Amino acid sequence: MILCLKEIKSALETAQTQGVSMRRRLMIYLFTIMLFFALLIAMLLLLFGAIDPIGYEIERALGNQLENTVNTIERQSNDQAAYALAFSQQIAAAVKDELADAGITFDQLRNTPDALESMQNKLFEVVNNNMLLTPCSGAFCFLNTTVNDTLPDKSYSGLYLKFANLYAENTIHNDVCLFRGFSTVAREKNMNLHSTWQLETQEGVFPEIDGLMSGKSGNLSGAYFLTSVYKLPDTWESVRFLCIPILDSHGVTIGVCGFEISSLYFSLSHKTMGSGQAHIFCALLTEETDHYAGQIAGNQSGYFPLVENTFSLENRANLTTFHSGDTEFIGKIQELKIGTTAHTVAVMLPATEYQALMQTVRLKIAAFLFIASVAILISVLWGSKKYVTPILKDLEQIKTSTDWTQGESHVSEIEDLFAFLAEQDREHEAALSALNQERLEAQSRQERLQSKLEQTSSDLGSAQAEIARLAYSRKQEIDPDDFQYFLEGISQLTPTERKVFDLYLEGKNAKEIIAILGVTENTLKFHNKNIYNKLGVSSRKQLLRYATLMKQQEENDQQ
Amino acid sequence: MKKLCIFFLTIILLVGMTGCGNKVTNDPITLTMWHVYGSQTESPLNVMIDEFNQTKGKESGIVISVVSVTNSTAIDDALIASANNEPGAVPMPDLFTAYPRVAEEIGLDRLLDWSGYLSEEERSAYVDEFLAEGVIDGRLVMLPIAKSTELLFLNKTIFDRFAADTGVSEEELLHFETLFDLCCQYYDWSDGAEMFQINDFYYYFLVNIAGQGGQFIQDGKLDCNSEEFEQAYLPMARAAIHGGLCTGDGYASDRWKTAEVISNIGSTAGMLYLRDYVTYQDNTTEEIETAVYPYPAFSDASPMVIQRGTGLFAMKSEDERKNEAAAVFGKWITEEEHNLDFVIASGYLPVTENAFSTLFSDMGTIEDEKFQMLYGAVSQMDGSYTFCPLPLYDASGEAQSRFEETVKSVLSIAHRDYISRIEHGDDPETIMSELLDSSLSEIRRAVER
Repeated sequence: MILCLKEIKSALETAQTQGVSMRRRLMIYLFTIMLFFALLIAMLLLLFGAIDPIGYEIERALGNQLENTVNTIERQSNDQAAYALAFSQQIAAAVKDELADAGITFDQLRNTPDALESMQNKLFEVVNNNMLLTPCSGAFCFLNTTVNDTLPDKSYSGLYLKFANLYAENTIHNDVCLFRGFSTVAREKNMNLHSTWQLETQEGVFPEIDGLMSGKSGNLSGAYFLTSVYKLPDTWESVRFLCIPILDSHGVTIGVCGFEISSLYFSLSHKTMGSGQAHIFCALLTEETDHYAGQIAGNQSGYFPLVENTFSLENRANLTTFHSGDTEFIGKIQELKIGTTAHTVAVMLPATEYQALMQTVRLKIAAFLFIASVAILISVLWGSKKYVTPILKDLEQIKTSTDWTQGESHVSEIEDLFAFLAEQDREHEAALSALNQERLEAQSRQERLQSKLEQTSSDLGSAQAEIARLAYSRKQEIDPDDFQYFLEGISQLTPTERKVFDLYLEGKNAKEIIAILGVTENTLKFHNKNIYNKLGVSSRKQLLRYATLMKQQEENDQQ
Repeated sequence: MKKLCIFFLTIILLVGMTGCGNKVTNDPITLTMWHVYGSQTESPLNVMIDEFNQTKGKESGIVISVVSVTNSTAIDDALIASANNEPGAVPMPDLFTAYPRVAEEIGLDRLLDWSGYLSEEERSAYVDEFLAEGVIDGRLVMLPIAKSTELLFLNKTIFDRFAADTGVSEEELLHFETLFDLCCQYYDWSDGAEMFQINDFYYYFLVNIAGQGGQFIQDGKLDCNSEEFEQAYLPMARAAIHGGLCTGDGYASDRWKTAEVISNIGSTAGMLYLRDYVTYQDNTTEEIETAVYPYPAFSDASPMVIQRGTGLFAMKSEDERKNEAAAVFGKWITEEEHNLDFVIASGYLPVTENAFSTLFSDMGTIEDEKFQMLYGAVSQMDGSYTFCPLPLYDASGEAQSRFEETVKSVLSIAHRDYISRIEHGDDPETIMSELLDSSLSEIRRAVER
C-alpha cells in the first residue's frame, strides 16, 4: 500500500513538473481521490465495527463454541449430579432394605456370594433405571465389600452396566450389558455379558473411586465429582465417571455409585454444531502432571486429525495453542469445576485449518481490494474518457477550424471560447485589413523611396566621381612638402587643438565647436591660430582640403 | 480498452472463484463406519483401520472414522432404523459391515455397486463363492472382507475331568449323535450344568438338512415338515429337553466365561471372545485349555458347514469422491497382506484366492497357538466339507431370528417341563417322547404362523 502511495505521489509530481496530457492528469487525480475515499470508508467501517479485522471471525466462532460447550457440559454435569444424588440415596435405601430382608449386617455381606448375588439382583433395577434416565453411557454402584477377600487382588462387589453397541447420543435403542457383577444377574435379567466382563471391580484400576470409597463421610450433595479419564481394562474404551459416595444411615461410606461417560458417548453428545466453522471441535481436559488429558468430541466436518488424547497447552494473548503429538491446534479454553474437581473445556481446530481459514480471509480481502481497485481504475478510465473526449474533439476543432462562428460544442466554456475566438477573428481581420492597407501604402512609399534612393545613389556616384576628380585635381595642385608638413604637424597638436581639429574635420562650424567645447570665440581663435601654425596652413579652407586629402589617403591605404 | 476490460473481468472472475469460497478444499474425505469386528474388546479391524488412516488413507486423503463397533444383530436393527428414519435413529454411516439380508431393507439402489470400482483382474482375485454372496439383483453390493465358518470349541480342561470320570472321549464330539449324548451325560455328571451351546440353530438346521439331501428353505420359506428336519431336530431336542444343551439366549462366549457351558459350535471369529480362564461364583479363576474341532456332522450325512461372515457395504453418495474413497478402502483391506493380518488377528478366513493359499500353505507363520488350532481345524474340513452360503430370500433376517427364538423358547419350556415332571415321578422316556413330539409340533406351528 505504501509502495502504491509512493507511486501515486511520484506520478503526481511528474504530472506537476512535466507536460502531462489532460486525460492522464485527470485520471491520476480521480484515482487518488477515489482510492482515498475507499480507504477512508474501509477505515471508518473497521473503526465502527461494521467490518471485522482478520481472524476475528474465527476467534468469535471459537468463543461462541466455547460458551456453548461450557454451557452444555455444565448443564449435563448438573443433570448427572442431580441424578447421581438421587441414585446414591436410592441405592442406600435398597441396600438397607435388602440387608433387613436378609437379616444380616452390611459387614456380613463380605465373602457371601449368595447374599451379594441377591443384593445385586435387588440393586439392578435402581442401577438400570438411573442409567436409562441419565445422559451417560453406563452406570455403576460398587459396594465396599467383596465376594472373596482371600484373593490377592482386592476388588469391590457391585454392578456396572453399560450400553452395548453405542452409536449415537440417543441410547434408547441400545441393549444393556453387564460389565461387572454376577453373571447370573445378567442371565436373570436377560442381558449379555460385556466381552470383557469380570465378576468384581479391582481396586487400583480407578484410584479416584478408591479414594472416595475410603474417604470420610460428609455432605452428600457436595461430594460428587467428575474423574479423570481411564482406559477400561481390555477394551478400546476410555471413560470418565461422575461419582458420588453411598452413605448408610449413619453417614458412613458404604460404596460409590455414579455414571460412566465414555469417550465415544462424549464425542457423540458434544459434537460441535452451528459454530460456523466445520472443523472446530471441543474437548473436556483435565490437568495431569505435565500435560492435559481428556475426551474429544466430533465436529461438523466429521474429520479431525488423528490425535492422542493428551495435549500440552501454550497460552497466547487471545488464543491457546494445543500440541498433541506432532499435531498443533489453535483454540480457546475455560476452566470448569464439576463437583469437587477442576477441568478445562477447550474448543480448537487444527492449526493447519486455522492458517487455511486465515489465508482464505486474506485472499478475500486481497480479492476485494483488487476488484475495488480495478473497478476504480475502470471508472476512472471511463470517466476521464467521457470527460476529456469532447474537450479534445473541440480542441481538435479549434486546431482545424477557420470559422469560429461555425464552431459547436457541448461544453459551455468551449462554446464561449468559440464566440470569443470568433470576435477575436473579426478584430484580427479588421486589423489585418488595416495592416494590408498600410502595407500597400508602405509598398508604394517604398517604391518611391527606392526610386529616390536610386536617384540619390546616382547623384552620390556622380558627386563622388566629382570629389575624386576634384581631389585628384587638388592633389595635383598641392605642394607635397606642405602636405607632408601638415601631416607631421597633426602629431604636434595639443589635445584641445586636436579636438578642435577633429571637430572641423567632422564638418562642424565655429559656433558649433564653441558650443561643444564650451569655449569662447577668442579661445577658439587662439586654438585656430595655433593649429594653423603647427599645420602650415593659412585658412580653414586649406585645412579642410588637406584633411580631406589625408582621409582619402588613409582609405586608400586601408583598401 | 475493450481488451483491457475483458482481461480485468477475467481476473476478477478467477479471483472470485478461488478466493471467495468458504470451504477449505484440502479436507480429507471422511467415511463414517459401523462394523461388527471386535465388539467391546480391542477390535482387530480398528487396528487395521488405524493403519489404513496412517498409510494409504493419509496418502489418498481418506479417513475412516469408526463410530460404532457392534454385533451383527444390533447393526441390522440400527441400520434398518436409520434407513427408515425411525424416531431416535441416527444418519446412516458411509460404510458398514452386515449380512446381505439387510440390503433389501435398506434399499438396493441406495447401496454402492462395488463392481463399478473393481477391474476384471481385481474381481478375479476374490474367492468366487465369497464374491457371489454379495451379488443381489446383479449388483455387487457386499464386498467380502472376511469370511468365517463354524467350528466346535471345547473347554478341554473341564471336559477332561468329565472324560476321566465317565470314560467318554473327544471323538464323540465329532458326530452330532454322540455329541448330543455327551450333553445328556455331562448334565447328569455335573449335576445339572449345560455342556454345549449352538449359537445359531438356524444354521444348524440349514447345513444338517442339506447334509441329508433336504432343503430347509423351500420357496422362500422355512420348511420344518421334512423328514430331514425331523432327523436333525430329534437328537438335538433330546439333549436340550434332557439338559446339557443350552437353549438360553445370549452368546456361548458369555457362558464360556463362567464355565456354564464348556463347548459350543460357533463362528471361527468366536475364538476372539473365548477366554483362557473361567471365573467362578466366588471370583476365583481357573486357567483352561481350549481345543478346536471341525464342525460335527451326522454319521450318515454328507458333511456340510455354513459359510458365513458379514461383508462391507457402502452407501452410494452423490459425492463421487466418497464412493471412490470407499472403493480405495475396500481394495486395501482385501489386499493379501492386509487381509491376512486382519483375519488372522480375528479368526476369520481371507477372501482372495492368493491369501487363502498363503494362509493354509504355511500355518507355522501364525504366532498364536489358539489360532493355529483354529486354522488347523478349518484346514481339516477343507476338501471334505461342503461350504453352504446363507440363502437370501424375502425377510430372511426376520425369519431367521423368529425361528431362533421359537426353537429356544419351545425347548426351554420343554426342558423345564421335563425336569418338573421327573420330579413328580413320571417316566423319563415317556415324558421325553411326549415332549419331543409336542415341541416339534409347536415349532412347526409357530413357523407356519
